[in-house]
Amino acid sequence: MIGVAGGFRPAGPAQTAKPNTWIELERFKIKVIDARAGVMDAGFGRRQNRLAVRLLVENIADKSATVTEFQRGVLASKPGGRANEVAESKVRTAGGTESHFHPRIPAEIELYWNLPEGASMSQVVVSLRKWKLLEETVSASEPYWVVEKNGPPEATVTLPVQQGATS
Amino acid sequence: MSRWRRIGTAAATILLFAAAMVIKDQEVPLRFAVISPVGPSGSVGEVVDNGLFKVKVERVDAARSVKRPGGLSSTPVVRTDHIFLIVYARISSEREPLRLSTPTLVSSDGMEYAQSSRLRGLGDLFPVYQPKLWYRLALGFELPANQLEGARLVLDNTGIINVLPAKVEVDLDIDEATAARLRAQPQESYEIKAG
Repeated sequence: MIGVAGGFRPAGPAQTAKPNTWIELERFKIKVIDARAGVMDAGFGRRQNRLAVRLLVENIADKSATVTEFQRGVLASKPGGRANEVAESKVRTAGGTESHFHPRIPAEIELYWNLPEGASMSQVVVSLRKWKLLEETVSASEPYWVVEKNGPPEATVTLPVQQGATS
Repeated sequence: MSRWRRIGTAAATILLFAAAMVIKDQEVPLRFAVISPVGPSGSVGEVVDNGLFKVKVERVDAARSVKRPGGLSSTPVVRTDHIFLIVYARISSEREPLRLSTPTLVSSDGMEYAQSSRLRGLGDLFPVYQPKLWYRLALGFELPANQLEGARLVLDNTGIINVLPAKVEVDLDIDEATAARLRAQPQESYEIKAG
């Protein structure tokens, strides 16, 4: 389990953006909407101290992308702290859960990070990693997207965290 | 072992470690080694056969909202601001049990839409089609309404361990007039007919 208060990778310098503004990366257009933290439902009857960040995401590439692929490109940290990968996510749609971001169809997603019990944070830095389309030159395999895990993120957004959320 | 041989071994080891680090730092998805197959194409009403499996598309409907086909969600109706395209087809494997990769709808400008998980029923999460039997498919896609014209259904069995990938493409016969009709009259609370 990865907690946002601990971690293993220092956040690097990146283009900074404001909440609720579109950030255009190679594969996705992203708007970081808001953040909240508190002890909330974590499924299967579990209650967990969590940070939840809401984003609006549009796939601007030409193929559907899985939610798992998308969440590899997002990190969260305390200001000046270490960035951590997403623990879980939920796409908010009208009825059912969607496992893909389809091209040109914006969808809202909520990303979750587990926090140590009793921990709180007033601000969160959401970092968006760089996406690259790689093409094999020696085989017939299709081009595929990779997210760069090293180097600075493409963009960061700092936003206030609403405390005491219960859902 | 000679000195030069030791140096060569050390250099090869360093190169291997460097390659491993590069691979580790790239979030390489499972599609890494997936080879894009070639396959026959056809249109609605035709049996399109690639030797491993055959597909016949029978009908295409459009909807704005769909009654969930028996899923885990408590939400009975799925809605979209765009359009749901529901493709009814039959499929049969020639020789061995067949597992398809995620069905895709390809638009005339090359956009690829994976089957919508919101329109899948519990029974069609991991289907396996036994040889010589015909199965009915009801495949739902969500796409922008202006992407209907010229759309094609692509079914394949590609996978990371499949050395004999094969696919079929079916033109859904959505010309300008049909696209306009589907856009103008998408159904509400559409019920997907079970296979």
